[in-house]
Amino acid sequence: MAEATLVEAVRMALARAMADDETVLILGEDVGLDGGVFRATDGLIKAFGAERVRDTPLAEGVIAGVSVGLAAQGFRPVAEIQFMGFIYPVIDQLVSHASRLRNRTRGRLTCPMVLRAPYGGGIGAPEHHSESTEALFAHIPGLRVVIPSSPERAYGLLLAAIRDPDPVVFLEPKRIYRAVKEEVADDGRAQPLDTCFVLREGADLTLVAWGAMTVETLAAADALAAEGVEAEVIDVATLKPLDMPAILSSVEKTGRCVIVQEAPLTGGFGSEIAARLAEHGLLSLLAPVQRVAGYDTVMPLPRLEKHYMPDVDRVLAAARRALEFA
Amino acid sequence: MVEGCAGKGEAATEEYLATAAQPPTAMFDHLYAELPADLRGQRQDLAAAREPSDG
Repeated sequence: MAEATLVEAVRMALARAMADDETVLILGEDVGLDGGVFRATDGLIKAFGAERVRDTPLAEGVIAGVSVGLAAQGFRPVAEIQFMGFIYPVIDQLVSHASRLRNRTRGRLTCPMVLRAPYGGGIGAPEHHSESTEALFAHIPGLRVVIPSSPERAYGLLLAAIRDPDPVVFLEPKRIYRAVKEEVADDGRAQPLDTCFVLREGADLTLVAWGAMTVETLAAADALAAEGVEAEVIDVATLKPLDMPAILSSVEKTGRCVIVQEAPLTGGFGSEIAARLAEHGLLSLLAPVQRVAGYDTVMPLPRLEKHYMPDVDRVLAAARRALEFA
Repeated sequence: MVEGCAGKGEAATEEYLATAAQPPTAMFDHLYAELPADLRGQRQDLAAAREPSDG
Protein backbone atom coordinates (compact mmCIF):
# COMPACT_ATOMS: atom_id res chain seq x y z
CA MET A 1 0.00 0.00 0.00
CA ALA A 2 1.48 3.30 -1.03
CA GLU A 3 2.02 6.18 1.35
CA ALA A 4 0.49 9.53 0.55
CA THR A 5 0.37 13.01 1.96
CA LEU A 6 -2.98 14.67 2.61
CA VAL A 7 -2.90 16.60 -0.67
CA GLU A 8 -1.88 13.46 -2.56
CA ALA A 9 -4.78 11.64 -0.94
CA VAL A 10 -7.11 14.40 -2.14
CA ARG A 11 -5.82 13.89 -5.66
CA MET A 12 -6.22 10.14 -5.36
CA ALA A 13 -9.82 10.55 -4.25
CA LEU A 14 -10.60 12.96 -7.07
CA ALA A 15 -9.08 10.59 -9.62
CA ARG A 16 -10.96 7.65 -8.18
CA ALA A 17 -14.25 9.52 -8.16
CA MET A 18 -13.78 10.67 -11.74
CA ALA A 19 -12.86 7.18 -12.90
CA ASP A 20 -15.90 5.68 -11.22
CA ASP A 21 -18.46 8.29 -12.21
CA GLU A 22 -18.42 10.20 -15.47
CA THR A 23 -20.69 12.88 -14.02
CA VAL A 24 -17.91 14.05 -11.67
CA LEU A 25 -16.31 17.25 -12.94
CA ILE A 26 -13.62 19.45 -11.51
CA LEU A 27 -13.54 23.20 -11.92
CA GLY A 28 -11.63 26.04 -10.41
CA GLU A 29 -8.77 28.45 -10.91
CA ASP A 30 -5.58 26.78 -12.14
CA VAL A 31 -6.93 23.28 -11.47
CA GLY A 32 -6.40 22.08 -15.03
CA LEU A 33 -3.18 22.95 -16.83
CA ASP A 34 -1.41 23.99 -13.63
CA GLY A 35 -2.72 21.09 -11.56
CA GLY A 36 -3.78 23.40 -8.74
CA VAL A 37 -1.63 25.73 -6.68
CA PHE A 38 -1.15 22.95 -4.14
CA ARG A 39 -1.08 20.26 -6.84
CA ALA A 40 -4.32 18.71 -5.60
CA THR A 41 -5.50 18.21 -9.18
CA ASP A 42 -2.11 17.50 -10.75
CA GLY A 43 -2.38 15.23 -13.76
CA LEU A 44 -6.16 15.01 -13.77
CA ILE A 45 -6.65 17.04 -16.93
CA LYS A 46 -4.30 14.67 -18.73
CA ALA A 47 -6.14 11.66 -17.39
CA PHE A 48 -9.69 12.86 -17.88
CA GLY A 49 -9.55 15.67 -20.42
CA ALA A 50 -10.31 19.35 -20.48
CA GLU A 51 -14.06 18.76 -20.68
CA ARG A 52 -14.06 17.33 -17.18
CA VAL A 53 -11.23 19.33 -15.59
CA ARG A 54 -11.92 22.96 -16.31
CA ASP A 55 -9.87 26.06 -15.63
CA THR A 56 -12.20 28.87 -14.72
CA PRO A 57 -11.87 32.62 -14.73
CA LEU A 58 -10.76 34.29 -11.52
CA ALA A 59 -14.35 34.62 -10.32
CA GLU A 60 -15.35 32.61 -7.29
CA GLY A 61 -19.02 33.51 -7.51
CA VAL A 62 -19.07 32.16 -11.04
CA ILE A 63 -17.32 28.97 -9.96
CA ALA A 64 -19.95 28.37 -7.31
CA GLY A 65 -22.89 29.43 -9.45
CA VAL A 66 -21.84 27.22 -12.34
CA SER A 67 -21.42 24.36 -9.87
CA VAL A 68 -24.96 24.85 -8.58
CA GLY A 69 -26.26 24.75 -12.12
CA LEU A 70 -24.25 21.69 -13.05
CA ALA A 71 -25.34 19.86 -9.92
CA ALA A 72 -28.98 20.68 -10.53
CA GLN A 73 -28.67 19.19 -14.00
CA GLY A 74 -27.25 15.84 -12.92
CA PHE A 75 -23.52 16.41 -12.69
CA ARG A 76 -21.36 16.10 -9.59
CA PRO A 77 -19.11 19.13 -9.70
CA VAL A 78 -16.14 19.37 -7.39
CA ALA A 79 -15.22 23.02 -7.34
CA GLU A 80 -12.00 24.34 -5.89
CA ILE A 81 -11.77 27.72 -4.27
CA GLN A 82 -8.07 28.41 -4.25
CA PHE A 83 -7.87 29.67 -0.67
CA MET A 84 -10.55 30.01 1.96
CA GLY A 85 -9.85 33.72 2.01
CA PHE A 86 -11.39 33.92 -1.44
CA ILE A 87 -14.51 31.96 -0.56
CA TYR A 88 -16.69 34.82 0.60
CA PRO A 89 -18.16 35.68 -2.83
CA VAL A 90 -19.33 32.08 -2.89
CA ILE A 91 -21.47 32.43 0.20
CA ASP A 92 -24.41 33.87 -1.70
CA GLN A 93 -24.51 30.83 -3.99
CA LEU A 94 -24.21 28.48 -1.04
CA VAL A 95 -26.76 30.15 1.19
CA SER A 96 -29.27 31.28 -1.40
CA HIS A 97 -29.12 28.28 -3.70
CA ALA A 98 -26.92 25.25 -3.08
CA SER A 99 -28.04 24.65 0.49
CA ARG A 100 -31.73 25.15 -0.19
CA LEU A 101 -32.32 23.96 -3.73
CA ARG A 102 -33.70 20.66 -2.52
CA ASN A 103 -35.89 22.41 0.01
CA ARG A 104 -37.11 25.08 -2.39
CA THR A 105 -38.14 22.55 -5.03
CA ARG A 106 -39.38 19.97 -2.49
CA GLY A 107 -36.87 17.49 -3.81
CA ARG A 108 -37.43 18.06 -7.52
CA LEU A 109 -33.94 19.53 -7.86
CA THR A 110 -30.92 18.64 -5.77
CA CYS A 111 -27.42 19.99 -5.49
CA PRO A 112 -24.78 17.26 -5.12
CA MET A 113 -21.78 19.54 -5.33
CA VAL A 114 -18.55 19.68 -3.36
CA LEU A 115 -16.77 22.93 -2.71
CA ARG A 116 -13.15 22.27 -1.76
CA ALA A 117 -10.89 24.89 -0.25
CA PRO A 118 -7.49 24.86 1.42
CA TYR A 119 -7.97 26.55 4.77
CA GLY A 120 -6.18 27.57 7.91
CA GLY A 121 -2.91 29.24 8.80
CA GLY A 122 0.55 28.23 9.79
CA ILE A 123 2.25 28.49 6.41
CA GLY A 124 3.48 32.07 6.68
CA ALA A 125 1.16 33.32 3.98
CA PRO A 126 0.06 36.87 3.20
CA GLU A 127 -3.35 38.23 4.09
CA HIS A 128 -6.45 36.27 2.96
CA HIS A 129 -4.50 33.01 2.74
CA SER A 130 -4.85 31.74 6.31
CA GLU A 131 -8.53 31.91 7.11
CA SER A 132 -10.42 29.58 9.44
CA THR A 133 -14.04 30.60 9.14
CA GLU A 134 -15.61 27.16 9.03
CA ALA A 135 -18.25 28.30 11.51
CA LEU A 136 -19.84 30.48 8.83
CA PHE A 137 -20.66 27.39 6.78
CA ALA A 138 -21.66 25.28 9.74
CA HIS A 139 -24.38 27.84 10.40
CA ILE A 140 -26.10 27.22 7.03
CA PRO A 141 -29.00 24.73 7.02
CA GLY A 142 -28.79 22.17 4.26
CA LEU A 143 -24.98 22.10 3.99
CA ARG A 144 -22.46 19.60 5.19
CA VAL A 145 -19.09 20.86 6.43
CA VAL A 146 -16.29 18.32 6.43
CA ILE A 147 -12.68 18.78 7.52
CA PRO A 148 -10.19 15.91 7.24
CA SER A 149 -7.26 15.61 9.60
CA SER A 150 -5.08 13.02 7.89
CA PRO A 151 -4.34 11.59 4.43
CA GLU A 152 -6.46 8.52 4.99
CA ARG A 153 -9.33 10.59 6.30
CA ALA A 154 -9.02 13.04 3.39
CA TYR A 155 -9.29 10.22 0.85
CA GLY A 156 -12.28 8.52 2.42
CA LEU A 157 -14.19 11.64 3.43
CA LEU A 158 -13.72 13.33 0.06
CA LEU A 159 -15.07 10.26 -1.69
CA ALA A 160 -18.04 10.32 0.66
CA ALA A 161 -18.55 14.01 0.02
CA ILE A 162 -18.51 13.58 -3.75
CA ARG A 163 -20.99 10.72 -3.54
CA ASP A 164 -23.28 12.56 -1.13
CA PRO A 165 -26.54 13.76 -2.66
CA ASP A 166 -26.28 17.10 -0.87
CA PRO A 167 -23.81 20.01 -1.04
CA VAL A 168 -20.62 19.63 0.96
CA VAL A 169 -18.04 22.24 1.89
CA PHE A 170 -14.77 20.32 2.17
CA LEU A 171 -12.08 22.30 3.94
CA GLU A 172 -8.53 21.00 3.66
CA PRO A 173 -6.07 22.04 6.38
CA LYS A 174 -3.23 23.15 4.16
CA ARG A 175 -0.70 23.38 7.00
CA ILE A 176 -0.69 19.59 7.05
CA TYR A 177 -1.05 19.07 3.31
CA ARG A 178 2.45 17.60 3.22
CA ALA A 179 3.31 17.28 6.90
CA VAL A 180 2.45 13.63 7.24
CA LYS A 181 2.64 10.62 4.98
CA GLU A 182 0.68 7.52 5.75
CA GLU A 183 -0.61 4.49 3.93
CA VAL A 184 -3.73 5.25 1.93
CA ALA A 185 -5.44 2.42 0.11
CA ASP A 186 -6.79 3.59 -3.23
CA ASP A 187 -9.70 1.21 -2.93
CA GLY A 188 -12.59 3.57 -3.48
CA ARG A 189 -13.89 3.14 0.05
CA ALA A 190 -15.56 6.16 1.55
CA GLN A 191 -15.43 7.01 5.23
CA PRO A 192 -18.62 7.87 7.06
CA LEU A 193 -19.83 11.45 7.12
CA ASP A 194 -21.66 12.88 10.12
CA THR A 195 -19.32 10.89 12.37
CA CYS A 196 -16.62 11.81 14.88
CA PHE A 197 -13.51 9.65 15.04
CA VAL A 198 -11.75 8.70 18.25
CA LEU A 199 -8.05 9.12 17.52
CA ARG A 200 -6.89 8.13 20.98
CA GLU A 201 -8.79 6.58 23.86
CA GLY A 202 -8.54 7.82 27.39
CA ALA A 203 -10.54 8.11 30.58
CA ASP A 204 -9.28 11.29 32.25
CA LEU A 205 -10.00 14.09 29.80
CA THR A 206 -11.71 14.63 26.45
CA LEU A 207 -9.86 16.69 23.86
CA VAL A 208 -11.97 17.70 20.85
CA ALA A 209 -10.39 19.08 17.69
CA TRP A 210 -10.60 19.04 13.90
CA GLY A 211 -8.33 19.63 10.95
CA ALA A 212 -4.73 20.58 11.61
CA MET A 213 -5.39 21.18 15.30
CA THR A 214 -5.55 17.43 15.78
CA VAL A 215 -1.74 17.50 15.47
CA GLU A 216 -1.25 19.77 18.47
CA THR A 217 -4.03 17.99 20.33
CA LEU A 218 -2.45 14.58 19.90
CA ALA A 219 0.92 16.00 20.94
CA ALA A 220 -0.69 17.41 24.07
CA ALA A 221 -2.25 14.02 24.77
CA ASP A 222 1.20 12.45 24.51
CA ALA A 223 2.60 14.99 26.96
CA LEU A 224 -0.25 14.36 29.38
CA ALA A 225 0.26 10.62 29.14
CA ALA A 226 3.84 11.10 30.32
CA GLU A 227 2.31 12.70 33.43
CA GLY A 228 -0.08 9.81 33.93
CA VAL A 229 -3.12 11.53 32.44
CA GLU A 230 -4.90 9.63 29.69
CA ALA A 231 -6.70 11.98 27.33
CA GLU A 232 -9.23 10.86 24.78
CA VAL A 233 -8.82 12.70 21.49
CA ILE A 234 -11.83 13.14 19.24
CA ASP A 235 -11.58 14.30 15.64
CA VAL A 236 -14.89 15.96 14.79
CA ALA A 237 -14.31 15.58 11.02
CA THR A 238 -17.89 16.49 10.04
CA LEU A 239 -18.75 19.74 11.76
CA LYS A 240 -22.22 19.77 10.31
CA PRO A 241 -24.22 17.66 10.93
CA LEU A 242 -22.41 17.13 14.21
CA ASP A 243 -22.01 13.73 15.85
CA MET A 244 -22.68 15.07 19.31
CA PRO A 245 -23.46 11.66 20.85
CA ALA A 246 -19.83 10.66 20.35
CA ILE A 247 -18.60 13.72 22.25
CA LEU A 248 -21.20 13.31 24.99
CA SER A 249 -20.27 9.67 25.39
CA SER A 250 -16.64 10.61 25.86
CA VAL A 251 -17.38 13.37 28.36
CA GLU A 252 -19.66 11.02 30.26
CA LYS A 253 -16.55 8.88 30.73
CA THR A 254 -13.99 11.61 31.45
CA GLY A 255 -15.99 14.47 32.97
CA ARG A 256 -13.68 17.10 31.50
CA CYS A 257 -13.45 18.62 28.06
CA VAL A 258 -11.12 20.88 26.13
CA ILE A 259 -12.11 22.03 22.65
CA VAL A 260 -9.28 23.09 20.35
CA GLN A 261 -9.90 25.24 17.29
CA GLU A 262 -7.60 27.35 15.16
CA ALA A 263 -10.44 29.74 14.33
CA PRO A 264 -11.06 32.90 16.34
CA LEU A 265 -12.69 32.27 19.70
CA THR A 266 -15.93 34.19 19.46
CA GLY A 267 -18.62 32.49 17.42
CA GLY A 268 -16.31 29.64 16.53
CA PHE A 269 -17.59 26.14 16.11
CA GLY A 270 -16.21 25.20 19.51
CA SER A 271 -18.90 27.41 20.98
CA GLU A 272 -21.57 25.15 19.51
CA ILE A 273 -19.96 22.08 21.03
CA ALA A 274 -19.58 23.80 24.40
CA ALA A 275 -23.22 24.91 24.36
CA ARG A 276 -24.44 21.42 23.57
CA LEU A 277 -22.29 20.01 26.38
CA ALA A 278 -23.94 22.47 28.74
CA GLU A 279 -27.40 21.49 27.48
CA HIS A 280 -26.99 17.74 27.35
CA GLY A 281 -23.87 16.85 29.30
CA LEU A 282 -23.92 19.16 32.31
CA LEU A 283 -24.30 16.40 34.84
CA SER A 284 -21.26 14.62 33.42
CA LEU A 285 -18.99 17.63 33.71
CA LEU A 286 -16.56 17.90 36.62
CA ALA A 287 -15.08 21.18 35.36
CA PRO A 288 -16.07 24.00 33.00
CA VAL A 289 -15.53 23.27 29.34
CA GLN A 290 -12.29 24.85 28.17
CA ARG A 291 -11.76 26.32 24.73
CA VAL A 292 -8.38 26.85 23.10
CA ALA A 293 -8.75 29.06 20.07
CA GLY A 294 -7.25 31.70 17.90
CA TYR A 295 -7.60 35.24 19.16
CA ASP A 296 -10.42 37.45 17.96
CA THR A 297 -8.09 39.22 15.57
CA VAL A 298 -7.35 39.11 11.90
CA MET A 299 -4.84 36.34 11.34
CA PRO A 300 -1.53 38.19 11.65
CA LEU A 301 1.12 38.23 8.99
CA PRO A 302 3.97 35.69 9.21
CA ARG A 303 6.13 37.26 11.89
CA LEU A 304 3.35 37.13 14.47
CA GLU A 305 1.55 34.07 13.18
CA LYS A 306 3.08 31.67 15.70
CA HIS A 307 1.76 33.83 18.54
CA TYR A 308 -1.76 33.51 17.16
CA MET A 309 -1.82 29.81 16.40
CA PRO A 310 -2.93 27.59 19.28
CA ASP A 311 0.04 25.43 20.23
CA VAL A 312 0.69 22.45 22.44
CA ASP A 313 1.46 24.63 25.46
CA ARG A 314 -1.91 26.37 25.24
CA VAL A 315 -3.70 23.05 24.92
CA LEU A 316 -1.81 21.73 27.92
CA ALA A 317 -2.64 24.84 29.95
CA ALA A 318 -6.33 24.38 29.20
CA ALA A 319 -6.12 20.69 30.02
CA ARG A 320 -4.57 21.48 33.39
CA ARG A 321 -7.29 24.04 34.14
CA ALA A 322 -9.88 21.36 33.48
CA LEU A 323 -8.03 18.71 35.46
CA GLU A 324 -7.23 20.91 38.45
CA PHE A 325 -10.69 22.48 38.78
CA ALA A 326 -11.85 21.94 42.32
CA MET B 1 -56.85 41.98 -20.38
CA VAL B 2 -56.90 43.67 -16.98
CA GLU B 3 -60.07 41.82 -16.03
CA GLY B 4 -58.50 38.58 -17.21
CA CYS B 5 -55.38 39.12 -15.12
CA ALA B 6 -57.42 40.08 -12.07
CA GLY B 7 -59.45 36.92 -12.52
CA LYS B 8 -56.35 34.78 -12.69
CA GLY B 9 -54.98 36.45 -9.61
CA GLU B 10 -58.20 35.86 -7.68
CA ALA B 11 -58.32 32.24 -8.78
CA ALA B 12 -54.74 31.70 -7.66
CA THR B 13 -55.49 33.34 -4.30
CA GLU B 14 -58.52 31.14 -3.74
CA GLU B 15 -56.55 28.06 -4.70
CA TYR B 16 -53.87 28.98 -2.17
CA LEU B 17 -56.38 29.68 0.61
CA ALA B 18 -58.12 26.39 -0.10
CA THR B 19 -54.85 24.48 0.15
CA ALA B 20 -54.36 22.89 3.55
CA ALA B 21 -51.32 24.10 5.46
CA GLN B 22 -48.44 21.69 5.70
CA PRO B 23 -47.56 20.40 9.15
CA PRO B 24 -44.83 22.42 10.87
CA THR B 25 -42.48 19.48 10.55
CA ALA B 26 -42.54 20.01 6.79
CA MET B 27 -39.75 22.53 7.29
CA PHE B 28 -37.50 19.55 7.96
CA ASP B 29 -38.59 17.78 4.80
CA HIS B 30 -36.27 18.04 1.82
CA LEU B 31 -33.52 19.65 3.89
CA TYR B 32 -31.17 16.81 3.05
CA ALA B 33 -31.74 13.62 1.07
CA GLU B 34 -32.08 11.93 4.45
CA LEU B 35 -32.59 13.95 7.62
CA PRO B 36 -29.35 13.64 9.63
CA ALA B 37 -29.49 12.18 13.11
CA ASP B 38 -28.35 15.53 14.48
CA LEU B 39 -31.61 17.14 13.36
CA ARG B 40 -34.10 14.46 14.29
CA GLY B 41 -34.32 15.72 17.86
CA GLN B 42 -35.27 19.20 16.67
CA ARG B 43 -37.94 17.75 14.42
CA GLN B 44 -39.33 15.67 17.27
CA ASP B 45 -39.39 18.70 19.56
CA LEU B 46 -41.32 20.66 16.97
CA ALA B 47 -43.76 17.83 16.39
CA ALA B 48 -44.40 17.58 20.12
CA ALA B 49 -44.76 21.31 20.72
CA ARG B 50 -46.83 22.53 17.82
CA GLU B 51 -50.29 22.05 16.47
CA PRO B 52 -50.88 22.59 12.74
CA SER B 53 -52.37 25.98 11.89
CA ASP B 54 -53.43 27.83 8.76
CA GLY B 55 -51.24 30.72 7.69
